[in-house]
Amino acid sequence: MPGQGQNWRGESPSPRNQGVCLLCDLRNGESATITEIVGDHPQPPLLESYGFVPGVRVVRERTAPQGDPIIFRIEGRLVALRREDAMQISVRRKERE
Amino acid sequence: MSLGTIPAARGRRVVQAGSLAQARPGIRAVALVGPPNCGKSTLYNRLTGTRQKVANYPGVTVEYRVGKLASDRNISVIDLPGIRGRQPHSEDEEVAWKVLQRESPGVAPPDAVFLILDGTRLDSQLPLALEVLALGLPTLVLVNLADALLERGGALDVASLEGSLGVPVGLVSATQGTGLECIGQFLKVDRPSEPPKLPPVIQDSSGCRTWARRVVEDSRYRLPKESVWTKRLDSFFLHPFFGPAFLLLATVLVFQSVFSAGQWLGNGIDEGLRRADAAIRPAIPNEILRSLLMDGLWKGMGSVIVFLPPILLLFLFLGLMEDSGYLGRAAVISDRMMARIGLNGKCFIPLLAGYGCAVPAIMATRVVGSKRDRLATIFVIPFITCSARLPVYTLLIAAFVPQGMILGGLIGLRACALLGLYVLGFLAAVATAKLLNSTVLDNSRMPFVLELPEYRLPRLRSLAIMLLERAKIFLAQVGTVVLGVSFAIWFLAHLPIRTGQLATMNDSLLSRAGHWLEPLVHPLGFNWKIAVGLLTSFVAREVMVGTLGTIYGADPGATTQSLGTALQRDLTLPGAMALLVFFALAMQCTSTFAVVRRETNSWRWPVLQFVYMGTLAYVCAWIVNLCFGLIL
Repeated sequence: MPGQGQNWRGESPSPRNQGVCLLCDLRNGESATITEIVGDHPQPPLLESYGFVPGVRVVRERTAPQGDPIIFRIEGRLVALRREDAMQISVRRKERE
Repeated sequence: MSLGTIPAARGRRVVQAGSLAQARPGIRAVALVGPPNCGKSTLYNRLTGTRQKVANYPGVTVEYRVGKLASDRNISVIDLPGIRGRQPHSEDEEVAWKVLQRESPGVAPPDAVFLILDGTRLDSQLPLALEVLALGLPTLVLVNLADALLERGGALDVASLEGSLGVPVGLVSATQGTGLECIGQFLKVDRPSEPPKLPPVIQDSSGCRTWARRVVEDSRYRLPKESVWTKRLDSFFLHPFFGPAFLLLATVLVFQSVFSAGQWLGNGIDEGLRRADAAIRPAIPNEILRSLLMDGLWKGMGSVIVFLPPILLLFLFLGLMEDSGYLGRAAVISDRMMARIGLNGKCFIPLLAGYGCAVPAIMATRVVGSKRDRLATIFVIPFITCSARLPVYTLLIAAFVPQGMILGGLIGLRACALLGLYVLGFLAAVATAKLLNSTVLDNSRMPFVLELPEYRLPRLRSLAIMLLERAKIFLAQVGTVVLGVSFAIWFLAHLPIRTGQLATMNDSLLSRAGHWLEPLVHPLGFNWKIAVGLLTSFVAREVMVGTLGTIYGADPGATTQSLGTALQRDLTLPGAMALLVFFALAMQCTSTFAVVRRETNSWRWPVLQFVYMGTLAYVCAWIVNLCFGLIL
């Protein structure tokens, strides 16, 4: 039985992994910092040219009427990304102050 | 690429000189570069004095444009497509880098660069600046959108930025025309011959960003607050319910107004033309000359000119959507649907442009990025109902579809018929895209990334200039192709001359040629006159209307009737339906054929497209004629 604050393997969550999730899992209005581009994305340079690189802050602005694509504010601009592409970017949620 | 401009109308321009700033003898060509949506086209228009479309959408400027600097006509200005970084992601970015590296044949190699950056998000654009500066050309950095930056509480110390970048920097507003003095100074000043002190060139992107962060700090740059208006408008235009509802309502309204207002204005022109006809006719002494000029050319050209208002209305709506920034939102709303047919939302923009004209639309596919999606989009664009189909549609619908309202007076029966034809073209495009995806094209996936520009108030002046340009293109077509075809048709309708008399319609060469063609189109419900019109429509669709105008102008029984009434005698209702369907599906446009050949760089695609669309059109028209013939 894992104790409190431990995951199913019984490990304590390292501070490195705390709050890490996929970009598409953010809620509207929530902001986060990109940690890495995961998976075998066909075109990481394309994402990079729109600012999707580790270390950059991103805010999930809103969702398109049919639930996809998702609109993010990144580096001052609004960028729409399909959910399947947003699933390949991992982010760390901004800690609540 | 803009929706409203085709390349022919966009060649070299010589602009009248304004105040003359004597330039350094070395600079003859300047390249304008910058990321998409930084206001580059606005600045270009200001510098060259010509006003074209304002780029408000990523990739609006697909082809570079060359003009002359208004203040010094010896200097040409090259407007390049927007670039994001050193690695090009679409063909227009490739074009831009080729020109910058002075490797593009046919373009004057730039001696200097005006690098335009968006002042409202300068921090993210510095890595790109670094890459452009690394080219080693004399560069002037123009930080644009100064008005928005300052209004929304941002700040920038220009002198410090100059120090960090090692090149002159100007804080400008292209829309308001402020701060542009720095350009004259840059061109005037005799710079030392050794290259300017360049910032460190950093190869990896993280180093680049660290450098950018430092420069931002040094120049005391403060990001402006987000635009409140964009947020407010997006919460309506991208609302789960109101967003799609507005898109749908806007579409319906566009078609309704194109049909009713366009036709109302067109009728006014028609009335004017008829009065002029009555006034001019008695003044021409020779009977044969009178027949050639009035029945042949006047009727032929006049019957096409009346369609100018609906076409301009359509372009006005497209221009409004593009300039306001709504187009990107429409792409986001429709992406789900586009994904279902195997395309991405970026293909939506070229497809939408196809409602104006297929030629610029096909060129706009360069922004699509993925080669596979691009080919598929090029292949299906000619199915989208372009403005050249409008003359034929409105003529036939007004002649054969009764007036009346449906859906409780929301939409007229005729507008509904028109909308139906648009839907038919769209469905054909969708089905073809699906077919292509499951057969010819491979299924590698490309990510969909689309930048949504801030909303901007469309500028009346740029819209007016775009409409003027479209009107010129349309009237040029009427003055050349339609005129030529009308001329040829009149002669064919009156030859051979026997004993000094013009041939009557029934034993003219035209009638013989038409009768020879008739068996081919008889299954579709067309007679020989329609056959001749159809033949000439393969030059360009709207030519058909001019041809029919000339044929009926030469027909003594029909000269006093309007073209629509004359057609009612010659075409059955099933035949008219078949003709509409044929026009919806066939590729009757030599310009489209040529542009597909050029963009795909092969004969295979345009030929395949022509045969596929032609066969589909023939078969569908035949089925429609058969089915309606049985029912009615």
